[in-house]
Amino acid sequence: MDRPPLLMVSPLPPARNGIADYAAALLPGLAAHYDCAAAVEDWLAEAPPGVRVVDLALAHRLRGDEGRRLYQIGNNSGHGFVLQALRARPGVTTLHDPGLLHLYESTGEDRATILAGMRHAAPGLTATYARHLRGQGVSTRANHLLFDLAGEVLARSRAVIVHSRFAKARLRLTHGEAAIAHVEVIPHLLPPGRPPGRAEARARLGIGREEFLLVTAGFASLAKRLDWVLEALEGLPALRWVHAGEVPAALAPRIGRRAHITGHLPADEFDAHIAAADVLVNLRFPSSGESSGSLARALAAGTCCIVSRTGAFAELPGDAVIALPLAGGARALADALAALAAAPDRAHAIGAGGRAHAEAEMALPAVAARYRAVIEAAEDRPPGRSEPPPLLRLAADRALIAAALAGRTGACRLRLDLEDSDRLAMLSLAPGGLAAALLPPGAELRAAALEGRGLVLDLQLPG
Amino acid sequence: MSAAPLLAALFARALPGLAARDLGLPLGALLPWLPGTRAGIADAAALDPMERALLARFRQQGLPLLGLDPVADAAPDPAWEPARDRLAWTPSGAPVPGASLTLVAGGTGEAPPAEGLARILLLAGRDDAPERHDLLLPEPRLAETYECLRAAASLAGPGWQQGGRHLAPQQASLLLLVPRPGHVLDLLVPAAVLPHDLPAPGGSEGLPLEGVRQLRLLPGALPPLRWRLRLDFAGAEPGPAAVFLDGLRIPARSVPGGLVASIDPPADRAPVLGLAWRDGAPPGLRLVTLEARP
Repeated sequence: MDRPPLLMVSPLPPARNGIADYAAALLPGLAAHYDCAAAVEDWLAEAPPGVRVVDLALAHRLRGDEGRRLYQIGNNSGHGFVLQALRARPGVTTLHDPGLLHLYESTGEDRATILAGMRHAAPGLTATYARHLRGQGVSTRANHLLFDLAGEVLARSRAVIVHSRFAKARLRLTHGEAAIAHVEVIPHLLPPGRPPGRAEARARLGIGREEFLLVTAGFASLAKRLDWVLEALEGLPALRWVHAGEVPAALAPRIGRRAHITGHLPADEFDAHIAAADVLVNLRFPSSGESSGSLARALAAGTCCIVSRTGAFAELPGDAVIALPLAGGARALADALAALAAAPDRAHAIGAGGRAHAEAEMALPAVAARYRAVIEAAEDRPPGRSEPPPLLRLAADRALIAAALAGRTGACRLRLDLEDSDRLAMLSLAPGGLAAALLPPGAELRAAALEGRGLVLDLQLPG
Repeated sequence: MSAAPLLAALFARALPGLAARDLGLPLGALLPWLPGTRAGIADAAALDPMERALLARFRQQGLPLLGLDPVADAAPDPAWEPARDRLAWTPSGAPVPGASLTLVAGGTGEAPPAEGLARILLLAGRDDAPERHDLLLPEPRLAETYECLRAAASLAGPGWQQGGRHLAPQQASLLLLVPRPGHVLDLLVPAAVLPHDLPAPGGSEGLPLEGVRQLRLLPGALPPLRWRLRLDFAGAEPGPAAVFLDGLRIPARSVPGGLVASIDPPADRAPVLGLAWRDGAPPGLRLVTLEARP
């Protein structure tokens, strides 16, 4: 039977990005249902066998590209090209983190667009934070927790997949019931392949059989609370701690005094550390509903996991993980670790429970089948509700405007600074007038108005 | 598509000093065969937005492709304006402003040319798949241009069909057909004259690639055959470079000073060639020429 084509737009390995690993793990499952290709920014990205890798700029030339598209979007700059592609053509989007403010900030999105998103997410709070951002350019961690910029993704996608009910609920609270009618929950995915056994992994890493090993993993963002781990281990000097991943420079000296920090690891080394562990500590505070690839790997390996009872982690069954309260997190962690170190069989039992849960809920064939159901149901569905047109604030420079409008479709507003009114006057004398001089082909000028020291153009972009 | 290489050779021989513009992208039939031809799009607004965004990435000798930037299009072009013969290849049926000769791909139909214009019907290509293209020109230039083209048609080889006649004051025809499997010329183009997406335009030394991780080149359309493509470099060996055709990686092998690959270009558009290096192109590396043999 012919499989319909599906284009996944996502970073892929060797990008140091958990979503790249997720996408690579998901593709073989989707390939059972679709003729898959992966559109990338890095042309030398690595896809599983049988999946073509195509330069995103040329993906529209693939036969059948007018059909199904699946976007993988996370909250970092590695996903800027995915957002651009979604703007150009709607599809189904996996939203790995409902926040997205960091994505918008780190990919150079116009401040007016960010402020508009903030206003939409939390109207009552925006005035103060917008003043900080506009006046002093200040964007603190609070901004990233308070303001969710997922509105555009919700509006442009035919369906949105999140990994937890928590993430869906968070989207509902911010954007309303109507905006999330097309949001589906599909659990995270077990990594491909069979993880090594504990003994094998320990032999490989030179860790003694009787040693109690605690592992933390991935990029050590502040929300992973390595500070709590550090505090919890103050009274447990016999426990060995390895951080399998990178630690920000500011945090590294403090963590490095107690833990061995491996730095970024290839996938097989990463898996070996998780499989060798007696316990994976995978805390989050605050959580924005993000999912965790490290946790999925630990569940697959049957490694006991300690998580924070928050966000998506709070949805895991009680016999699959140890979930700690947020209040008194370090103390609770110390107690849990001491108990596990005294009774390692309990850690093994929880690890087995976690593996059973993962194999039932997170196995690739089951996840891929659920993806297929969402993709097919969304096939004829228009993108969600329409957003107010984005407002882009720019200098009156054709190249800047072309770059800002690239990939956008539909209604859009431009606010052009009038600092250089002589240049605007000169451009208005170009063949075809100001619009032809400043706007890319196909952009239709619907209205123009002076606002303060700016010229606001209402545009309709093709596509 | 089999006619473009023949017509390019015909015009180059008939009209020395010719300046050419190919406004037929995304096909770009003339572009590879008349090196120095400036590439463009006749109706950019009608393109698929993604194709338009792709073409907007390219610069040719530092300039955007024609049809995408009215300000750049209106800027003086020292290679175009002073030329006596300014040939524009276009898929649309009207004379191109500024061109003294407009070559309309696919012809202009049966209606007579507009007042003051003349037309030379060109029937060219393979004898089992002849193509019609119409050359529109000012009526006073018909006789002279027609004679130049007829004389140049003596490039015909054995077994070729050639002929033509002056049909009316405003109209003439010229026939140049080659027997199957066709006569396809080898292609040799300096890389720096091709549209590409590097920040620097390059020059007679080639395209500077040091440190470049990814590069797209738009060579223009090739007849739909299997071609042996050779990319020639200078300044260093290209090292472990990957080659791409329309965004998909294709097998390629290193030869001294170059890379060789077999390609099957699409029939309906100019393929985009890509080059990529995991750690950036080696120091001093320049792409000098692109060569293709059927």
